[in-house]
Amino acid sequence: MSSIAVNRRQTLALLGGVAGGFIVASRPGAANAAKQDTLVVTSCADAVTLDPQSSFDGQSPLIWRGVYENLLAYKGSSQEIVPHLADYEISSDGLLYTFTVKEGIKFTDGEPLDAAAVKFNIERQKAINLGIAFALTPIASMETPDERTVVLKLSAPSDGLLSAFAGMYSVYMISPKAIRDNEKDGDWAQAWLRENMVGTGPYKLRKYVQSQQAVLERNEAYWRGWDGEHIDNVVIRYVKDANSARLLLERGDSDIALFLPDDMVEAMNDEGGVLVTDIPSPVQYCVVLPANVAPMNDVRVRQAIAYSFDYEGLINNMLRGHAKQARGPVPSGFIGFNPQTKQYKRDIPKAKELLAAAGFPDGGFTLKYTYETGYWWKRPVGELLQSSLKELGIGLEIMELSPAAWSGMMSNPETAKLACFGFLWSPTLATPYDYMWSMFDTAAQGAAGYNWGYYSNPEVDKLLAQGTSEPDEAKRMASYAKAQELIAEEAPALFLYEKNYRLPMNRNVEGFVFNGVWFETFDFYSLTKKGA
Amino acid sequence: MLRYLLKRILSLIAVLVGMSVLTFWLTHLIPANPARLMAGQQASAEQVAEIARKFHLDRPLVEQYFYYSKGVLQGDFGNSMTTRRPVLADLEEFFPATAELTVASLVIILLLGVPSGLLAAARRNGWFDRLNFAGSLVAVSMPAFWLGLLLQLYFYRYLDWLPVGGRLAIEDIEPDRVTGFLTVDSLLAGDLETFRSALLHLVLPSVTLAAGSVAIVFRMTRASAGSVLRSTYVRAARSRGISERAVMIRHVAPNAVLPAITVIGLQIGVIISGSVIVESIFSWPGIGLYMVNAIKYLDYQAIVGVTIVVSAVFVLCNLLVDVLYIAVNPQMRGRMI
Amino acid sequence: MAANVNESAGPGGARSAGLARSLLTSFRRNPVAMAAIAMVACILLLSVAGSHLSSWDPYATDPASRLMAPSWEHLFGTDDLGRDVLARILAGGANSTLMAFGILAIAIVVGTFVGLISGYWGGAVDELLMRVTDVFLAFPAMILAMCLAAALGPNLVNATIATGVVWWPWYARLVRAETIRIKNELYVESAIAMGAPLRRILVVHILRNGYVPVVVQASMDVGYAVLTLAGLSFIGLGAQPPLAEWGAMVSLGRDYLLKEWWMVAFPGAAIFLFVLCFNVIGEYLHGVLTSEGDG
Repeated sequence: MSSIAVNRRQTLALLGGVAGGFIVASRPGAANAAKQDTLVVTSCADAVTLDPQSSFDGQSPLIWRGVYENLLAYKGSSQEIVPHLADYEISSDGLLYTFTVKEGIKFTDGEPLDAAAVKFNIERQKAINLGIAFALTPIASMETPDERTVVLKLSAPSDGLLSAFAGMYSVYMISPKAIRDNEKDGDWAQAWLRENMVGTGPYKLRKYVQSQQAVLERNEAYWRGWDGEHIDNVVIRYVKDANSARLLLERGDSDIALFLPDDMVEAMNDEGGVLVTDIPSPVQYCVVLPANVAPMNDVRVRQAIAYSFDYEGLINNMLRGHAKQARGPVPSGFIGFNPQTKQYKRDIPKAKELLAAAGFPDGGFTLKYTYETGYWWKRPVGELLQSSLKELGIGLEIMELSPAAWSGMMSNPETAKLACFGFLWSPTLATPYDYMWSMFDTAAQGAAGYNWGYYSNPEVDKLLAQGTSEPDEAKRMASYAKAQELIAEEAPALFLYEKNYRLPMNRNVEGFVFNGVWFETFDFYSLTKKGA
Repeated sequence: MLRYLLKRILSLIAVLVGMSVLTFWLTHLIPANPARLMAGQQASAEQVAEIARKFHLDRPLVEQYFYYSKGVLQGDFGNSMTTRRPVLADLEEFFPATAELTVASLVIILLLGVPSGLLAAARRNGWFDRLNFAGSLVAVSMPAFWLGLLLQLYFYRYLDWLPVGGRLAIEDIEPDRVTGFLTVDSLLAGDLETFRSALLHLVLPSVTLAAGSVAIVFRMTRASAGSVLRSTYVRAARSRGISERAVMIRHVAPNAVLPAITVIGLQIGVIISGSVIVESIFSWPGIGLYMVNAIKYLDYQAIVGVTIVVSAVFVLCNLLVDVLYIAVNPQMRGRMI
Repeated sequence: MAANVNESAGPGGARSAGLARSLLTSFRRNPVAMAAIAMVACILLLSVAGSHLSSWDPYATDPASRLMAPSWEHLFGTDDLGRDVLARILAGGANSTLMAFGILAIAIVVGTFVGLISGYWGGAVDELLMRVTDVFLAFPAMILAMCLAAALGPNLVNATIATGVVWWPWYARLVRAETIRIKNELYVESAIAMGAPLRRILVVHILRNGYVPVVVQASMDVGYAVLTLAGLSFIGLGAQPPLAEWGAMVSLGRDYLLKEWWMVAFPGAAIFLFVLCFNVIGEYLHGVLTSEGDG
């Protein structure tokens, strides 16, 4: 008997020893805090690909922007396009674009950036037909009269073409040598570039482990040089659990946390340990309404819904006032915004009146609200809409779907019947056309775009077509202004809010400039970290 | 023994084929449009159709299954839509993380479950027994996701002893991949700092994963040790004056280990199932997390690939446990053949 | 393990009465089991009466009073849309209970059916059915449940069906073993020899004498069923918003864990208590029913 007692004590002692070891060994303390020459960014969502010409996702550009560069750039926080790798000139008829590549710029594999390289990259972008390729369709031909000059000839003027060489989704410059060397079965090195990067940018890729981390290090030969203060290394960690990402940032183990839920960011703001930016942003949040099937094809029914929604509750309580109600399809800070556009306020009696006029005094029909996995803001918006519609006697069935199932369902007018959906639009091109065409043009219905409410108004289509090909600035903007008014009046969507950019970051990070065209990415080269 | 093995392996192949058919059919039930997703957001209808043709997505399901299984036999599990890589490459990358977590959990289960079961049986209804028994009820009733969250809150947020998730800290350098087990690889590289970090990162997830199974192994060991203790030959041994310690070591422990092996075999399924939830809580980059993402994003090829591979591993583990059982227990040999 | 439960067999009726009596006396002697039963009864009662007990509507959103800490007004606080957490837990209790029994009902009905056929007829039918069973058992439970739930489309009813489908093979094996055992009993053989109708043999003789292990297994499985379902909801494959379900509530509260802890703590505790009670009851039921055979 006594021997068992001894055994037990030994067991306990052993356990105690092991536990004690952990305690001593795991006091990380300040040693864990990110080093001053290294910027640590956590992202709650995985990058899809390192190939900057092949995707439209919101997470990959974070890495692209460190390694790859564009011919042009947006100036500061504005939508003004300025030269970067190249100077540019546009002929007065808007049909000739001339780029002059700056001298002495090299890719990290030693290959020079010249006119041929630019042409090759545009060719690749068009050939793989992913990413920004759709915006390059107006290009009829390309010429390289000398080593530094590329001339693009357009078949028709396009107010979005310049943006295709400046923004987050654009024709980034990839080393032509790397593309040729790693080409397989005519894939333009798509397989290889998915996990490798050769650019002209300030950083180069040192290590990349899918879904875990990416490590960027200084490109010593960078053409803008390393004078002044800069970050040497960038570590991007994919931390799926938002709580973990928050804790890492609060304890100084990371410097910036991306893709955290609003409420968590606000909680961090309240506790004050972390800096949270508060900058107006051109990202437009809306709920698109089905507009093609009865009773939703009656404009009065859609207006009734627009009058029933509790915009103030959403903005003041859910978003704590760090947003303002949108006014039509184009955000107020964006070029071409029309301040005369109609804005709906919650007004239940008016909503009921409109509904009664349309022949549904007590509602009595049910709609669907669909959203895809991964967009957490869409769930509460759907639940709020459900509450609002209840007051009108309209039912709302909420469905979360995988992105594939969601796009499958919504891009087919048969299965998309009577389905509303939460949608967000951030600008791809610096033109109001970008905001309106994809969601409201008749040609963008079904698989062609995102007009999955199947709204159709020939007047709107005509105004948009006029706008994009009109060389005269004033006339162009007048068309767009009219289109905004028409769309807001017919309420094919609830234009919810423009939310301020609320990014939680370490207080010692300096030099961050927010530009709404670049979303959830950083110009790492311009950032610095001050000593604690 | 050989005949038994052969028979088991044959039925295993049949099971695997049935399983792949079932999984393939299930994942294709939803009317989604994977071709469109693969083609990209701005693709035209013709491009979408082209991709559907290329990947046989426009063919009947039976034909698609045929193409798929032909690929699998050549080691091609197709491409994941979300990671845009071959599913096999994804599996190779994420599998070791889950394997390491599973092994760590099994070690915890064995080290805690079996000895505590033996001790509890030795003093049935003593305080140790009662405490553990109550503890085991609590452990099997605890939702893993809740336990994991509570542990994170306590050990990371308040005590600051253990990391909150992931396999390594941000500043750690991942060792060169040999086995894929970070603890082993860091030791092979002679990097004690990373080894310590990898071990610390293992603690919370493996404890969360093991909790329920420890309780079950504890109970099984306790029950079988108890019945051996009450058996006539132990009574006879005692009456011959053999010490209680000798009784435990010579008679009880070996007899109790057999059922414990069986239970651990059964628990492998439980652990694999649990890893799905534990990995999502602790951002553990393993198969479970990959599976959750694949299902959420309806990544057909990834779902089918993971399910087939994980289930195959599960079935193999079961076979291994059965063989082990026979090997440990000579009396069983005659019976199984 | 469960197959060697209940070695005694005899005419059904008398045995049932004895079983009930011994259950009653045993429970009376066991304060923990009594407490667990009382608690389950309480939870069930609260869930059913939930909508009348709480003055809050579990589905009414109110952004102005969101994320409120527990107070006398909102005992368990409010969630991100201003809904009362207590009201949602009560509403969720009804869902969880109903769905847990749904899982067992599917598993037992399908399992018994397959097990009976397989055990009674044997031969090729048995071989085929058991191979199918093997295929289902070859998946780790959660993995198959996830595939099924995703394929059927994520909602609570489909998650219940998925979990039930994962569970039935265990019951099929159990019932098959019982069927084979009872079929060879003298009185069943003689009933078959006397030409008793098949339905009578299956139902009266085999089911009535073979149900005990199934009951024991089911009582032990309720807790697991609730946990599995909550797990599916937690990873987003079960209950969909705005449905009140405990696992989904914990999942939603996860992002609020560090500050608004009540959104995770209370629904999680509800699952834990509920499962614990069922496990305690299952434990004692198991103890009583399995020791009965020993005398």
